[in-house]
Amino acid sequence: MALKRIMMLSLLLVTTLIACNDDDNGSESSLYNSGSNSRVKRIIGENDHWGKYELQFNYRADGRLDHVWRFSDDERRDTLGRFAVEYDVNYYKFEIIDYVLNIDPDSVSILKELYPTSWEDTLCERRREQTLYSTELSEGKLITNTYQERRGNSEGTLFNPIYMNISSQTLMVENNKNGRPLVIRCYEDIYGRGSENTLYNRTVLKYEFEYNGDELISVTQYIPDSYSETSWTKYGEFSCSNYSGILTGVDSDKYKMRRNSKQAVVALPGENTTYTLNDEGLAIKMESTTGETAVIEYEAGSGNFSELYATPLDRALGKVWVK
Amino acid sequence: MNKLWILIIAILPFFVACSDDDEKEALSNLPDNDMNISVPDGNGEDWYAGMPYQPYPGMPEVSQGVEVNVITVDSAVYGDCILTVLQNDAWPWTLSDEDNANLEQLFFPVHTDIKYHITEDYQNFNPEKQPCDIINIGWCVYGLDEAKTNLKQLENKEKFPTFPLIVMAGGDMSNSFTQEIWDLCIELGGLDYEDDVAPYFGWDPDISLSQEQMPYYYPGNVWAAYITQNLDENDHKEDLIVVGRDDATGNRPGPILCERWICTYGGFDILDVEMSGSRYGSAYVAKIAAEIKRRAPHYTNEDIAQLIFSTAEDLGNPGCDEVYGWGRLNPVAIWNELSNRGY
Repeated sequence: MALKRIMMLSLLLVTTLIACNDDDNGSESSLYNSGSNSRVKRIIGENDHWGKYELQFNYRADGRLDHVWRFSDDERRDTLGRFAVEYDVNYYKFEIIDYVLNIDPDSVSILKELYPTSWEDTLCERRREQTLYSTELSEGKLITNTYQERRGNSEGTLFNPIYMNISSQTLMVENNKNGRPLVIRCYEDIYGRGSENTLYNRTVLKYEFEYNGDELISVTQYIPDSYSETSWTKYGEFSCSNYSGILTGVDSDKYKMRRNSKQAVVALPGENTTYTLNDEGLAIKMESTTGETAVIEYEAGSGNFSELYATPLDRALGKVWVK
Repeated sequence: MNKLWILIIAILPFFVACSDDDEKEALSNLPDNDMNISVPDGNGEDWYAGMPYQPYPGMPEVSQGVEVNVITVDSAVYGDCILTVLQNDAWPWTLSDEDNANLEQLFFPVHTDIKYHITEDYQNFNPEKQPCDIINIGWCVYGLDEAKTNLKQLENKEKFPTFPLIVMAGGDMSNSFTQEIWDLCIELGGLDYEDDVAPYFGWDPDISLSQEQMPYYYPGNVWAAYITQNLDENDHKEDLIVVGRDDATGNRPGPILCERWICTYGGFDILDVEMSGSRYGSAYVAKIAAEIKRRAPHYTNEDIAQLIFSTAEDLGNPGCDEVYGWGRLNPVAIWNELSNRGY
């Protein structure tokens, strides 16, 4: 009888242990404190595209992200964009949306002249939404799309506020029993410039993840073999280093990552981003060699922002430091 | 019952081990890593619009020590766009497979010996009195008086000590510069549709064009015709290149301009926006002409023009014709020919 009670109690404890792991964020658990009950609340930063900005995150009662507002950094705090999320069963769509003016600067000057007191209100009516980045999970596939403002959209004959689709990625993830990626199959589409913006170059890739226990030790990248539809040729490799189950480094030709208790550095071709980490391993400050900066604030509560905006591949390779 | 408590106490540490504190501790104990990492910037492509200077294959690396100066005359609205073509920041909107195979020889960063200047001062093409080897004219002239005045500016030795090579846009109206049109131009003193042509025929310029009126609607660059037809014995035919569109959608040279006519791209990808017009093709030809001058500084305007015409890819009827002139500009053949000549 006593033995039975012991077994029951053990079962209860094991269940608690599993719950202690972050099921949903299997790939993240080796980066920052998976049990952390923090979620991003506000980001104040500056980048080439938005200039100075502030992002304010709003969550649903169940902890899922509801929406994000992007404000101007001046005292007017104009709303200049938003992050939108749609949820359904086994489905979500996340979009980073910019509000862009649908009229060129010359027309703005004319409005200003004609309606000196109300021209700014008129401008709000002349805005359109343009998606800058989106992710969509549908039928088990995660699709990301990245768009870019036209460099010459600013004035006169060149004015064209429609963003161009520059790349998209379709990922199909196969997880292991611990909820961490085992194989990711992926299409990467790079859209052409000029008249070829409706055409894309597709690269088919497969990533195989190798673990030692729960530690990721390598990710091997394959492309299809030209001579055999069912074979794959090795294309690249990410070798990983760990300390006590925590991913501390990734090395490959085109991507590197290092982290210690206070910092993480992510290196992409020609560009390094340094994250200052808090005690939970979450980024509280970001600086990149391209001049991008951000200060990140958290609040208590569960959240899913990193799952929405980042792919499982990026999370597994240590590119994601904001939760 | 006691055994049960002992077992609970034995299992408890495992439970504690899974707590956040343990993970926090692991995070705070991470070893110092060498954080000095980087990945070289390959930009993903070897050759792209706006790339830093690199010689194209076959380009002589050694500078001749002679500057080549190009002045572009056009309105400010177009000037910045034209500059992107000249400086390799803009490539054509559509690239053929053949273009893609020869990207490096067709589109290349400008050598530091080549200098570009832009003015929108139509009354004074060289306000700064810059040295000028090549003048790129992006707009079309429709009056003979204006053609004459413009040419006089270039003949002004104070502003242009050496008469420059003129690279001029052919226009974009899908008409042909026929002998009949040229005769009319001489009779009327110009081919401006509203001021010259419509009043002459008694047409209302404000209503849609009929089939009969269409060929007279801005049929070509009168300044170019003034030079090619050697009116007033100006004697500058050999200093001129007129640029049309290789899809034959713009103006066609007809018999009046065909001997000085070359075709090239009609539309360019300027800062991600498609910009069409022979003014951009003209800028591209000026860029190629400047590179020829850099490699062979002693070449005369006619030497440069003949090299461009003789190496062109023939389009339409064999030889020089009234639709494509000498054909499509072919920089690959130009560089090969220059190399063969020892430049």
